[in-house]
Amino acid sequence: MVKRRVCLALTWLLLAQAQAEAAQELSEADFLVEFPTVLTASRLAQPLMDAPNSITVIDRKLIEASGYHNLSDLFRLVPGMFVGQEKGWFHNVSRTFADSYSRRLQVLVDGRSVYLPSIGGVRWDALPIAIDDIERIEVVRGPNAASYGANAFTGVINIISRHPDDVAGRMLHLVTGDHDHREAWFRWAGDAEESSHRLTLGRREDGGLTYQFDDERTNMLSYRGDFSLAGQQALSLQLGLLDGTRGAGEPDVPIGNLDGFRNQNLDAYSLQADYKRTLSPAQTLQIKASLDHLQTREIIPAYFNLPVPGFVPVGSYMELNQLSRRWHGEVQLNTEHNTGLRSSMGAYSRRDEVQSFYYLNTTDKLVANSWGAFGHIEWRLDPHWLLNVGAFYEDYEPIGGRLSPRATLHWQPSSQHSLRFGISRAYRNPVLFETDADWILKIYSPTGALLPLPVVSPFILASGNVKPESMLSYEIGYLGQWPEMAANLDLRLFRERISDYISAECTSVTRRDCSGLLPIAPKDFYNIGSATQQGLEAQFKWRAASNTQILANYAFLDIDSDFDEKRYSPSQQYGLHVMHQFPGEIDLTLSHYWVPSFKPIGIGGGNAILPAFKRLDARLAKRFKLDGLRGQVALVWQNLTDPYLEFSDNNPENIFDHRAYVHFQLDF
Amino acid sequence: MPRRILILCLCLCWLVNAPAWAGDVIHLILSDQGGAYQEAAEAFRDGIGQRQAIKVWSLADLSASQVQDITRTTDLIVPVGVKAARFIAEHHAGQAAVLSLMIPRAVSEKLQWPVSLGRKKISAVYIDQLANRSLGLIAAAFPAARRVGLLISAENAAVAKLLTQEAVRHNLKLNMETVDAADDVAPALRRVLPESDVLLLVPDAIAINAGNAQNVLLTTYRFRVPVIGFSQGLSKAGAVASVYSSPAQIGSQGALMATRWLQGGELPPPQHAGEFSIAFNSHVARSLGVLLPKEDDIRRKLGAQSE
Repeated sequence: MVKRRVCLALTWLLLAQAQAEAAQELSEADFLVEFPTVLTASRLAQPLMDAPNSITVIDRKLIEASGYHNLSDLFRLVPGMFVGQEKGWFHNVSRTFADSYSRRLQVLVDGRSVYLPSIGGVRWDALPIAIDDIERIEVVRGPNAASYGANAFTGVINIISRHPDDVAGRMLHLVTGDHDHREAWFRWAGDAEESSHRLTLGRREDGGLTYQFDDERTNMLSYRGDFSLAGQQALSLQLGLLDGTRGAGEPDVPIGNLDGFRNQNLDAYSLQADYKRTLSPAQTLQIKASLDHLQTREIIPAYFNLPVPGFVPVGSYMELNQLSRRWHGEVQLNTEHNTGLRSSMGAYSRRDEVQSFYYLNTTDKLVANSWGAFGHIEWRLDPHWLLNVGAFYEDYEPIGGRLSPRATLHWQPSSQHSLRFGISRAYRNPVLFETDADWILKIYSPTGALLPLPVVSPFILASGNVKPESMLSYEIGYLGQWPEMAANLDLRLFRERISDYISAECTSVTRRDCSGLLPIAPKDFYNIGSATQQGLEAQFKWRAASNTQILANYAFLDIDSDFDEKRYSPSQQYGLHVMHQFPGEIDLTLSHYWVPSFKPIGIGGGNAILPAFKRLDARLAKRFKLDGLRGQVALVWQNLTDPYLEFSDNNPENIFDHRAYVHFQLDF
Repeated sequence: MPRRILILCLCLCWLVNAPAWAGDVIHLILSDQGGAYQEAAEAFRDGIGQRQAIKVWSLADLSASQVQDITRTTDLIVPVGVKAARFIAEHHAGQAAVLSLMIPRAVSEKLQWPVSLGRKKISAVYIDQLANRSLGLIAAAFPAARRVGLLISAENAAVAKLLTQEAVRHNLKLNMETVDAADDVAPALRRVLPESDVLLLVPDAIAINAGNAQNVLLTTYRFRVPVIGFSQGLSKAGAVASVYSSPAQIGSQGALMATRWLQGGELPPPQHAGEFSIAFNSHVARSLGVLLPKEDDIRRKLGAQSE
């Protein structure tokens, strides 16, 4: 009986093995089978040639080759983009309007807006995404409100994260370097039956700039899960958590301090769900829901002193808490019609919540709701002509509704050249700080009682009587590709007329009334004037040899404004990047930048001029394989040339000096 | 006498109701009844002309003994597809020549035929493509591409060798990864794609199959690497271009070879179909930002037929 069972088992095993072998054998069926349609046209983005804007793509290879560990530094690779740094952790990324908060640029992570509804702009150091988890970054150069609504005013940055399947396995990435810089990242990614998952944990420490108290400590966790559902449906879930501390403040002076050294405590989280359903090979439905939360808490040492014997300092601290929260829901339908016509349409609804007793002088939570609807049509008129027409209607509760339209006509004499003529209207809605600020000095005694300061006016008391900034943009774009030389050239010539520029101005006759520690009149936000910006941006990419890649950027900008700040962005900028692979898996990258002198908006009391600077960065990396494990060691140098003055707020010694870092990465 | 008459009558009856395999009939044996097999059979029939008797079988209708009888009593058997070819090889008991159609070269070379059959009695028209065509398509469609990614299992070592030799002629560098099991495919893709300008898919039961095609294509899309496939189905699914021979083209090639056999009693050596087509997926190409030269120019350059 036992023998019979053994025989049966053996037979079964042999049969199973035979079946497995048969299943693995090639046959004509492999050639004849109809595969499921995977890449339907409607779920794909437009190729650069057909896009209604100039777009710079920073791909994974370029991200790695750059050696940058700050997300914001990657935008140095984009023509016309200015990257500044007020503190080790406080970065400014802007296009044409260089200011502290970069309120005129929309920033998306996997399509989710991370623009702060409170003070505007983006806290680059508080985004719960690791550079190792970024697949590519697409930077739209120029207004794109017709696609992304208000605040996509001077451009859009879309950061696209890596799919878990593309990073399956485990990764350890350690960084150490000057200014007490240390990073440790661990990532795991794997798949189950119909899903794949990625989990990244990281810690980052940095000592910041030399003469500032701006240390950074960050802990981060991010998760992405992608699920294949039945019937051509897919779901992607993302979670990001970040906490940490940021050093801030200035040293005491004899008369006291209203900005003493302290740590800012930071808590951020984001949740995102993306659902995609392929309704037909020509039609895809996408639904997105997200929540972004950022809270900062600071106890600022603050007191008045008189340098006379026996004087007891008055006051103890100020409390600066800020909460920004954004709920967002969006639906989008992409359709490919039969006659060379593609369309994308959708709608969104959003709720922004902001709370800050320090800036808004109320413990209430301010809420601003908005909704919008958008449509875009791409119509191929004939093989050489393409028309893109789109518009975004947006109703922002505190301000009202606005329509941002755009039309571009492309002439494509061959598949390698595209000339684009475009016109568009864009708006920037004022953020809640610009409509509701009531920023008044509130100093507490050591016992927690609010000190009465009768002579003090608010620094800023916003009346809310402000219109959105508006831009009418004309542009001519050219994209040429020479596949035989592996080269392409992207040019953008533009003229942008900005109206109703918003700025905080003194409500009194003299400016002096609004300045100082104890102003006697507040500032308010006004639409103060117009400006015309004309310029040229160029990007040339060339694979000079199979192992050498060159990227050259140049931007020229002429500003004619009728408000005080005439030169708020660099008149020219250039960047040159050479990436070369030596035999033996050795990579070298050299990046050189030049920025001439200019005066960033609102920095240094409106008078500080940022001197011209040059900067040379380098990365030398050796990739290796060790017992089947892959890894790399990289040396990164930043600013091999002379130290230069960084973007600075009242700090003339905001010096960016020479730095060196060592990276060690292992995939196992 | 009555006994002789009876035998004569029986012989007449046998002649009248003679089985189809008697005489100079060519027996086409289809692995299955599907459209592709029928398409190949019809092209074969059209190519060889109406005067030649052809009997078409579906493998499911044939027993092993019937196959043995056919191989003993007929001159030429044409199996279409791997199953039919293998079944004929296993049960071949006579001297019939065998011309297999629509089978992968790797499989064809492994089939065991009776030793008594000379080489001139065994031939095939492969379903796969010459290395020259696939790499020629890459050179024509992506003139700037230098690095070609390739995933292949050990089973396909011979194909890999041919491709490596041919790549040198086209000034291309093959970036090859060997996969031994289904689980190796995704990691191998992640290693190959960042170092490749284009990914070449070749028929390989482990590297690419109906089960993993979706993941393979989506991964290549995320890496922005265009894919060259080997079937119309792959191009429909997401490969930017594919070079392939249709069942009809293979059937016609088979007819030409069978005609040679009918005229001279010898089969030409096994070969790839002389005719082939190229399928493009312009939507995917556009979305990848790939600029393809004109499709007809590529076809003309390579000598491909229009789809």
